[in-house]
Amino acid sequence: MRRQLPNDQRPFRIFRDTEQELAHEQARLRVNHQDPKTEDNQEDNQEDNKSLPVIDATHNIPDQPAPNVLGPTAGSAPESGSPDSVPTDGRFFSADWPFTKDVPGTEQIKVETPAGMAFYGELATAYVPWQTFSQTLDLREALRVGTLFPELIRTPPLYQRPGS
Amino acid sequence: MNAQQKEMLLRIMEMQFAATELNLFLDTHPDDTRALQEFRMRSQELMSAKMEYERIYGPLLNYGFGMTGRTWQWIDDPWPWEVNWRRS
Repeated sequence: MRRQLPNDQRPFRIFRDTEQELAHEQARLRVNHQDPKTEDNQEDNQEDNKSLPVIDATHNIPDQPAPNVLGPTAGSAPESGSPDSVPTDGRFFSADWPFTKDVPGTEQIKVETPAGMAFYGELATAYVPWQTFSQTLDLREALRVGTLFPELIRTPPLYQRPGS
Repeated sequence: MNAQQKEMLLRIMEMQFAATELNLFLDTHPDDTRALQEFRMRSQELMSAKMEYERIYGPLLNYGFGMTGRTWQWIDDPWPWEVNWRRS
């Protein structure tokens, strides 16, 4: 069964075309989602930050992505309060990994992407509801809308001459 | 092709479409008695409507699948693509 996420956690794209693009996107998200507390500390820690790639919200892209932007499985979780801190309550990773390893109650399927990354989640499942005989349309109407069964009418009507 | 002939043909088309739909439904629901009953009713109506049409206007099918009158009527009617089906 598909697990419905809250609106602010809906994934907007699952895969990126390249690993680099994904890293950039996540770096941008990371800045936007940074904890206000850590922003206060940023000036104090600026000297420590020199070893890290500089990321700003104007989409200036670092050559090397930060070590922890490659997904939930890459490296260990950073300590909270440090400039690398990433919200672990789902705000950050859920944008790209709606179903992480840690989410209980979901089918855990590992999907390898062409870029060599792993995505943990459910594959899509197709289903066809079983039709039950209930009533039939008027025959002329049936020929016009393309089905005898009212539950199979699709809008806009298929098989209809334009303008009729 | 006069209006009555056109109306009869249209009626046959409708009933044949309904029979096709019920046929498809029964392919996946062979035990549905209501659908089977409706299919029987529709196909009987369809058969009598076809016989009525062929009695008046000539055969609907050729190669011996339809009725053959005293004269060769197969070439009398306009071909299906020559009929203007747009309702006025």
